[in-house]
Amino acid sequence: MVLTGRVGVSRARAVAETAARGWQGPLTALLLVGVARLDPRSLSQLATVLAVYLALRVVALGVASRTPPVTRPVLWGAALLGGLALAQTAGPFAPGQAASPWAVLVLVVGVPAAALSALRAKAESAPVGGFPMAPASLVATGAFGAVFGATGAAAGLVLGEYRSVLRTAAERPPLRPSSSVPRLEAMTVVDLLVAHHVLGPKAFTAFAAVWLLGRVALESTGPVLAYARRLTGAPASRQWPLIAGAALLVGLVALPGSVTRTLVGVPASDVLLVSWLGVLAVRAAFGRLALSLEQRGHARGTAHVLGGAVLLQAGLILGSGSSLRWTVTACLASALAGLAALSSAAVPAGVVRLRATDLVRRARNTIEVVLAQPATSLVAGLALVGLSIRLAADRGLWLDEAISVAQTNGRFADMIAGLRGWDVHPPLYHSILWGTRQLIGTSEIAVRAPSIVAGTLLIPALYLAGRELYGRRTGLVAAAFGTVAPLLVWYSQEARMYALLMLVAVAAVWAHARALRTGRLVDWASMGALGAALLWTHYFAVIWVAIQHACVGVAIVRRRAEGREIGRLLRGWAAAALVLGALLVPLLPIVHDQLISSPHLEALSTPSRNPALTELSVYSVLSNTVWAMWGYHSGEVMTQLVALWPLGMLFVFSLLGRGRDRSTTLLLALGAIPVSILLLAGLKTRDLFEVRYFATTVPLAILLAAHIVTKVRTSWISTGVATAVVAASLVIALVDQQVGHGNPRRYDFERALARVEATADEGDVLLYAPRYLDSVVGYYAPGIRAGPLIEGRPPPRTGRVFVLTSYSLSDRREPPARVERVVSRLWRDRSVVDEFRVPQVRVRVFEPRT
Amino acid sequence: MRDERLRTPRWDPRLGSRGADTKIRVLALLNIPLAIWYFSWLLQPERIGHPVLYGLLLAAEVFNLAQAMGFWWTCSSSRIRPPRATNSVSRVDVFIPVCGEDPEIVEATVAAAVALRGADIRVSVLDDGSSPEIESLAARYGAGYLRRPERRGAKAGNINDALARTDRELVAVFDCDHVPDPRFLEATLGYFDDQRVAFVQTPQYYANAGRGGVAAAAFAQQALFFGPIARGKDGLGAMFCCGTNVVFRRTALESVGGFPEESVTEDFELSIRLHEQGWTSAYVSEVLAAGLGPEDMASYVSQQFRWARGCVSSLPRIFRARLPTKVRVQYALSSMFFLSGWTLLVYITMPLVRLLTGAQPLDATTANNFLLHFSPYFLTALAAVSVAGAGAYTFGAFCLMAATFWVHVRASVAALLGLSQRFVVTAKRGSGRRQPRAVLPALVAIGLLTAAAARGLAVDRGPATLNNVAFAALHVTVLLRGAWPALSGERRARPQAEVEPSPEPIGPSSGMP
Repeated sequence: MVLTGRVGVSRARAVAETAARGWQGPLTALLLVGVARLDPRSLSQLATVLAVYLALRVVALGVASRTPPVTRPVLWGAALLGGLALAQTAGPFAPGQAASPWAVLVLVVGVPAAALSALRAKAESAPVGGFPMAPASLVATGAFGAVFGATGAAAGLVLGEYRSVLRTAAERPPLRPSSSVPRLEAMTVVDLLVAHHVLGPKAFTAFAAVWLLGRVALESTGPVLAYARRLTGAPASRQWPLIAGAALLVGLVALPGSVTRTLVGVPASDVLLVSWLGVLAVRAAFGRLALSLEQRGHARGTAHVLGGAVLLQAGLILGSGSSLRWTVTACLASALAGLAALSSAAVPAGVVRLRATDLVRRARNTIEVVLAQPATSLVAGLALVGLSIRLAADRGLWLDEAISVAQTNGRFADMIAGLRGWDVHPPLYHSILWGTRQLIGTSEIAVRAPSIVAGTLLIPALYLAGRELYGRRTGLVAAAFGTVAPLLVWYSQEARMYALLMLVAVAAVWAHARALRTGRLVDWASMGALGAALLWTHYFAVIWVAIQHACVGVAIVRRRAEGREIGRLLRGWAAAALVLGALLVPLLPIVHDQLISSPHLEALSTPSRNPALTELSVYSVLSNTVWAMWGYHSGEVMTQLVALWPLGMLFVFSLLGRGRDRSTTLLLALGAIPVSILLLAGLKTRDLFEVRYFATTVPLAILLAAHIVTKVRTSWISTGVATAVVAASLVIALVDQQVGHGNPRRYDFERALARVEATADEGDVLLYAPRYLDSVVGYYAPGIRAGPLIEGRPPPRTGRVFVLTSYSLSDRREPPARVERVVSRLWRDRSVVDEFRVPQVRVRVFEPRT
Repeated sequence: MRDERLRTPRWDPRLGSRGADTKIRVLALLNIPLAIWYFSWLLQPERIGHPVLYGLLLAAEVFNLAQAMGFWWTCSSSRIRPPRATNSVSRVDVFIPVCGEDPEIVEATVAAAVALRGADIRVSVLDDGSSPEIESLAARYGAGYLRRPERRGAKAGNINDALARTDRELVAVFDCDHVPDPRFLEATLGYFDDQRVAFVQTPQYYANAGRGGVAAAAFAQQALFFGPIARGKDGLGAMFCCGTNVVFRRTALESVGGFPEESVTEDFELSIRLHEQGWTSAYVSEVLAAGLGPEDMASYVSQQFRWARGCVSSLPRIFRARLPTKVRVQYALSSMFFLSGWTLLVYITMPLVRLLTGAQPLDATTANNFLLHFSPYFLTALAAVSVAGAGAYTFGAFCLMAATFWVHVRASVAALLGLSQRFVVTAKRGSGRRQPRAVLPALVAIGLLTAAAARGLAVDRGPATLNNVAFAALHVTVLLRGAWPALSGERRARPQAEVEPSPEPIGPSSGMP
C-alpha cells in the first residue's frame, strides 16, 4: 500500500516535472511580455526588492546547507519571518511610490517560470542563483502585491520562496553542503547593491533593467541545460558552453537593446546589453564549474577563488566611479578571472574535456529527442516564442494603422458605411478590429491584438499546412521558420489586415490539400469558406482564389485524361464553389458601392502615389523579394543584399533535378502567379508591386523553404545544417529589422508627437503634411490644436507653430518641394527655434519674431 | 549478392515525354523573344565595359544561345517509335568486345547475351586482352571466342576483325559491362524491315548510378541525352550510334568499310558515314541493357576526354560531310557541346578579373539592368531543361560538368594541335581513393576565386564588389560540389544489399554517349 502510494507520488512528480518543462517556455514568454511593459520607475523598484530578497536568500541558503536536517525546519521558519520583516523595508528603500500593476504581473506570471527551472536544477545539484518559488506561491505573491503594492509583492515572493524550499527539503534528500552557492549569490547582490550605491538612481535604473532582462535570459535557458544533461549524462562541468550559448542566444534574440531603451527611458546601448548577457553567461559557466569542482573535492580552492572574484568585483565597481559601462565591465572581469582560475585547476583533472565527435553525437541525440516529442508540444512552444516576439513591438503606429483605428471609431454601422464610401478594403479585418477595441480599448497593443493573434496562429497553421503537403518534419520546420520570419513578425505587429490575410491563405492551402486527399465534403466546404474569407480580407485575393479553383480544374482534367473517376472530385469542387459563392453574396453590395464611390480607387489607374516610385526597376523587384523572406532593412543593407543576387542563380541551379510534385506545383502557382500579375500591374502603377499586396506568397515561400531543407536527405547533418542556416539568416534579419537603424517602414510618429505634446502650450498649433496624417495625429496627440499644412491658410499670428512632415508618405498632390515652398512662404515672419527628427518624421518649431 | 545490372531498371527514358513536345514548344516560343530581348540589350555599344572581356562574354553567351536553341529544337522534335515486331527469324551475330576487363563483369553480359530471344543468335566474345579466363568463360556459356593476332584500331579494329570472320546479316554490339535484356532483339529487329535502316540504337543505362556522386551525376547526364535529346534526334533522323546496345545491318557497315579505326569516337564517326551514304537510323526509347558508368573521377574524366577529343575532332568532317542540313546541324550541335567548358572558363574568369583589377565586361552604368534582361531568359532556358528531362538533369550533374570544364578545354586544344589520342577503356569500378589530381584545375579555380573574393572584400564592400563576390561564391560552390567526390574518395563497390538509391532523381545530361 505504502509502495503503491510512493509509486503514485513518483508518477505525480514525474507528471509535474513534465508539466513544468512544458510550461517553462510559455511562462518565460509571458515574463518577457510583462518586463516589456514595466515602466522605469517600477522596474527600478522591483530590482531593489529583488536585491533585498537575494540578500536574504544568500544567508538562508548558506545557513541551511550547513545545518543538520533536524534543525532545518526551525531555521527555515526563522528565516521566513526575518525575510518577511526585511521585505517590508523594500517599500521605503525603493525610490518610487508603489509598484505598477505590471510589476505585479511580472512577479505573478514570470517568477514561477524561473522557479520551475530552478526547481529542476535543484533536483540535480545545488542551484546557481535563480528565484526558486513553487507555482502555488504565485497566489500569495499576486495577492500580496495587489493589496500592498511593491512591498507586498516582495513579501509574497519571500513567502513563496520559503514555502517552496520547505517542501523541497521535506520531499528530497538534504541538499549537499555547498559554499559556492552563497558566494555566487553574493556576486549578484554585489552587482545590485554596489551599483545602486555608486551609480545613483537614474543610472541604476538602466543597470537594473539590464540585470533583470539578462537574468531572465539566463533562467529561461535552465531547462535546456537540464534537458541536455539528462540526454547526454555528461557531468555539470561540460554543460557550461551550452549555458553560455543558450543565454547569449536567448538574450540576443528576445531582448533587443531597443526594448531596454523603451523600458528605462535612458540610453542603454546595445553593446551594454550584450556585455551584460555575456557577464551572465560567463558567470553561469563559472558557477557550474565551481560546483563541479567542489563536488570533486576541490571545495577549499574553489571557495578561495570565488571569494577572490567577489572581492575583485566589488573593488572594481567601487573604484570605478559612476560609469555604467565600467560597472558591467567590472562584473565581466571578475567572472572571467574566476573562470580562468577555476579552469586552470579543472583542466589537469580532466574536468573540461570536449571532443568534436562528442559534440556532434550529442547534437544529433538532442535533435532526435526533440523531434520525437509530440508535435503539439513543439508547435505550442514555437507559437509561444512567436507570441513573445510579436508582443515585443516597440514601434508606434504608422499612418495606415492609425487610419484603421480611425475607421473603426463609432458605431459598427457607421464604420461599414465609411468603408463602403471611402475605402477600398473589404470589411472583415475592420470588423474584427472594431470588436477588439470594444473589448480592450485603443492602446497600441489593443489595436494590434488581432494581428498579433493572427500572426501567432499562423505558426501552427504553417505546421498543419506543411504536414498536410509534405509531412510532419516539413511542418515543424515551416513553423520554426514562421516563428522568426521577419515579414510575418512585422505584419503581426501592424494594425492592418495582412497578418490575417496570411493566416487565412495558409489555412486555405491546408484545406485545399486536405480536400484533394480526403475528398470529404467538409474539407471542400472549408476550402470554399476560407477562399471567401480571403476575399473578405483583401480584394487582391481574387487572384489567389482563381488560381486555387483553376488548380482543382486542372486536377479534374488530368484525372479524366488518365481515365480515373472524377465524380467525387466534381462534387467536392461544386461544394467549394457553392460555399464560396454563398459567402461572397453579402460582399457584393459593398464591392459595388466601393467601385462607384471610393476616391481611392483612382490609385489603381494613376501612375503612382509616391513621386519617388516612378519606375518599377530591377532593384525594386529584388528589394521586394528580399523583403518577402528577410524583412525590411535600411537602404544600405538592402543595396548590399540585392547585390548578392547571383546567389539566387545558385539557388535556381540547385533546384535542378529535384523533381516536381503536386504540392509544390500548387504552392508555386499560388505563390508565383499573384506576384507575376502584380509585377505586370506595377509596370503601369508602381505602387501595386509592393510586398504586402502579395503577402500571401510569403508563408508559401516559407513552406517551400522548409520543404527544400527537409528534402536534403543525404544525412541528418545536411538537413540540420540547412535548417540552421536558413533559421539563422531569418533570425539575423529579424533582429536587424526590429532594432536596426534605417528601417524604411519605421515611422516614429509616437515619439515625435509625444515630444510635441510635452512641449506645446495652450495657443500653440501643430500643422502637418501630408494632409492625411490627421489619423495618426488624432491618435497620438488628440489634445493638440492641429490641422494640415495648406497653402493659403496662414496659421494664427500668436503662439508657436509645430510643423510635422513625413515626406516618404507624400503623394503627387503634395510633393516635398511644394510643401517646403509653402513652409518658406508662411514663415517669413517667424523663426525656427527648435527642430528634431525621428525615423521618417521631421518636426520644426516656429515662433513669431519679436 | 546479386549483380545490380540484373535488377529492374529504375529509369524510364520515356519519362516526361507525354506532352513534353507541347511544353517545350511553348517554352521555346517564350524563350525566343526573351533571348532577343536580352541580346538586343547586350549588343548595344554602350554596354561595352572592358572590350576584351565584353567580347569573351558575348562569345560565351552566343555559344550558349546556339546550344540552347539547338536543345529546344531537338526536344521539340521528340519521337517515340511504336513497338514493331519482326516478320521473320533473323540471324544475328552478337559481339561483346573485351579488353582486359574483369571476367566477373563480362560473365553477366555473356550469360545474358546467349539468352537473347527473338532471333537465331551467335554470340562472340571479341577478346583483345588475350585472357584465358575470358576464353573459358565464353566456352562455358557456349559463346564463340575471337582473338585477333594483331591488335590495331582499338575497339573499332576488334569489331572489324570480327565482322570479317562472321557472316550474319545483323550485328548486335554490347560493351562487355552492358547486360542485355532478353527482349533486346525482339524490341529492335522489327525496325530493320525498313531496308534503309542501318542501325537501331537503345539507351545506355547505368545500373550503378547509386554508387556515389560521380556515378549518379554521370548517369544524370546520360539520362538527359538518352531521354529527350535522343528522342528528338530520332525525330529528326539524326540519331547516331553510341557504341553499345546497338544492332547494325551488316550491309550498311560494309558499305562504309566497317568501323572507322582512326577515331577515338568510332561510333560517332561511323554514324556520320552511314548517314552520308543515305542510310537512316532508329532509336528505341526503352531500357534494354544495363551497364556500368564511371564510378570515380579519374574514370569520368578519361571518358569525357575521349568523347570530347573525338567529337571536337569530327567538327571539320561534319561540315564537309554530304548530309541533309538538319542532320548536319544536329551532328554539329552534339560535337560543339564539348566546347562548353570554354564558356565556363569565361564565366569563372569574369569575377576573378573584376575583383583583382576592377575591369568588367559590361559598362558599370548599365550593369544594373543586366539582371532585368538576363534573368527571364536564364530562368526559362533552365525551365526548358527541367521540363524536357522531367527533372532528370540534376544539380549534381551540372556541377560535375562544371568541375570538369577543363576537360573540354584540353580536348579542344589537343584536337586543334592534332595531338594523338589513344583509346582508353573506361574503368568499370571505382578506385575508392581520393583523386584530387583529376579535378586539379577546378581546385585551382576555387582557390583563385576565394582569394580574389577575400581581396575584393578587404579592399571594398560596395555593391559592385559584393555582386562579384557572390558570383565567385556561385562558381566556388558549383565547382566544389562537382569536385567533391574526387576529394572525399568514394567507397569502392559496396555489397549490393548496402547500395542505396541515388540521393537525386535520375535525370538529364549534356550530350554524348
